[in-house]
Amino acid sequence: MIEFDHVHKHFGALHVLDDINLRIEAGEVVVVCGPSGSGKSTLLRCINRLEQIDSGAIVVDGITVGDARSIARLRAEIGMVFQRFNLYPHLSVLDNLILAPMKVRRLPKAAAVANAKALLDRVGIPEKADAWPAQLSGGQQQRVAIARALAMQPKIMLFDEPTSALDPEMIQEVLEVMMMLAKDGMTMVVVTHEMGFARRVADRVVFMDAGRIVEQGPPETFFTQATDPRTQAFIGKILSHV
Amino acid sequence: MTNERVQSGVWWGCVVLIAGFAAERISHLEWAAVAPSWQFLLIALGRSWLLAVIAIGVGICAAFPLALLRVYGPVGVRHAAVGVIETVRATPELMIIFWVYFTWPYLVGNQVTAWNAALGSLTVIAAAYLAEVIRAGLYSVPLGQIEAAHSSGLSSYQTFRFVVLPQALRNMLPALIAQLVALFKTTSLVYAIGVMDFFRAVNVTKNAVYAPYALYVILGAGYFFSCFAITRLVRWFDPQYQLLE
Repeated sequence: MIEFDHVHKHFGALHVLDDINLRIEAGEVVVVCGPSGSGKSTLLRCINRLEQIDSGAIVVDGITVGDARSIARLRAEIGMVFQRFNLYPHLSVLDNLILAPMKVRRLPKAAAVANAKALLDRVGIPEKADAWPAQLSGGQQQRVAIARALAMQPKIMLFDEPTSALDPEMIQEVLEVMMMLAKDGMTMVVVTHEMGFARRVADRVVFMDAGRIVEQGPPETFFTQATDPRTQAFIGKILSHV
Repeated sequence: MTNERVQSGVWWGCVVLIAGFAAERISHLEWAAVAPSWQFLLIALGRSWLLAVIAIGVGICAAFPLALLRVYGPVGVRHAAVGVIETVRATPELMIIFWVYFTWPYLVGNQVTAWNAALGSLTVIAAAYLAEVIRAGLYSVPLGQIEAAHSSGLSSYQTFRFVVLPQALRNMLPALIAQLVALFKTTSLVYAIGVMDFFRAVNVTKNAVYAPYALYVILGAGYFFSCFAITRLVRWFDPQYQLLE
C-alpha cells in the first residue's frame, strides 16, 4: 500500500531522512516512534507530500508520489490527523466534515451531510454537528478531525502525534476511536509516544533515530527483545516514565 | 454595587454638563451666516464620499492582486509588487496627488482634469495601503490550516477560497477599518489641486462669510460622522464566529 524506496531528505545540513526503506501493507497498523528530531513526522508527511523528498521514491496505492498534478487525487485517498487538530475555525463541525467531500468528491450536499452525521455518530459526538470548533474540548476536536479525514472515505489514515496536544484525561477517547478504526481494517500509520496503544493495536512498531529506521518488528518482540542499544534506551525511558 | 452606581452617576453627570455647556456655546455661533450655504456644503461632502467610495472600491480590486502577487507570486513579479506598494507607502500622499496631476500631462501629452487626477491618485494610494492590510490578513492564517486543506485533497485555489480567504478577511477587519477611515480623511488633500471636496468647500465658505467657528464645527462633524459611518458599515459585514482557542 505504501512503499519507501531509498528515500533521502535534507533540511539544510540536517539529513532528516537517511535511506528509508519501508513497506506497509493494506490493513496494517504501523506505529512510528523515536526521539524528537528523529524524522518520524517528516517520514509521515512525505507520504502525502506535505514534505518533498530529495531522492528515492515513495509509491502509495500504485501511484508514485511526485508531481504536483496527481497529488490532489492521491491526497483524497489519504486522511491525515494533526497534533494541533487544524479544524477550520470559521466553519461549524458539520461544515468542516462536508467541505472536502463536496468540493473534491463532488458529493451532493444531502449525501455529504448524511455521511458526516453518521461519522460524528461513530466518533461519539453526534450532538456537536452545529457547534463551532472553539466550543469543543481538545479530545472532541481531535475526534472531529478524525471524522473529517474519514469523510473522504480514505484508504489510508496518517496520524501525526494525535494525542500530544491533549490533556491526559482526553487521550483515551481519541485512542478508542483509533482502535475502532484499526479493528475495522483501516491502513494506519501512527506517529505517537503512546506505547500502550502500540502494544495493543499495532501490527508493527518502527523505531527511528537520526533519520534512519533503526529497528522494526511486531510489538511483543519490539518491546521485549530490541537488539539495538538506542532502541533499548528509548524503550527504557518511555516505559519507566509510565 | 452602590459605590459603582454613585461613580457612574458622577461620570454621566459630568458628561451631560460638558455636553450641555458645549451645545450652549455652539448654539451661539454664527449659524445664520452659514445657513444659506448648506446645499453647497452638503454636495461637497457628497463629493468627498464619491471620491472615497470609488477610490476604495477600485483600490480594493487592485489591492487583492497586488497582495496575492506579493505573497504567492514568482520572484520577479513579487519584487515588482513590493516596489509599487513600498514606493506609494513611503511617499507623502500629497506628493502623489501632485505627481499624478502635474506629471501625467507631461508624460502622456494630454491634460488631465483635477477630478480625474484626484480619483487616480487616491485609488493608487488606496490600492497600496489596502494591499498591505490584505497581506497581513493572509499571513494571519496558520500554516496548519493550509496543510489540513491540502491533505484532504483540496486544490490550491479551493484551499485559498474556502479556508484561507474567509479567515483572512475576518482577521484583517480591524486593520481594514483603520485604513478605510484614514483613506476617507486623505480625500481632504485633493483640495490642493482644486477639487471642491468637503474640506475645500468649508474653506471657500469661510472666505465668503465670516463664520469660522461654526464652519470648523461643521468640518469636524462632517468628517467624524462619515468615518463613524464607515466603521459601523464594515462591522456590519463582520461574520460572527468564535476563533479557535
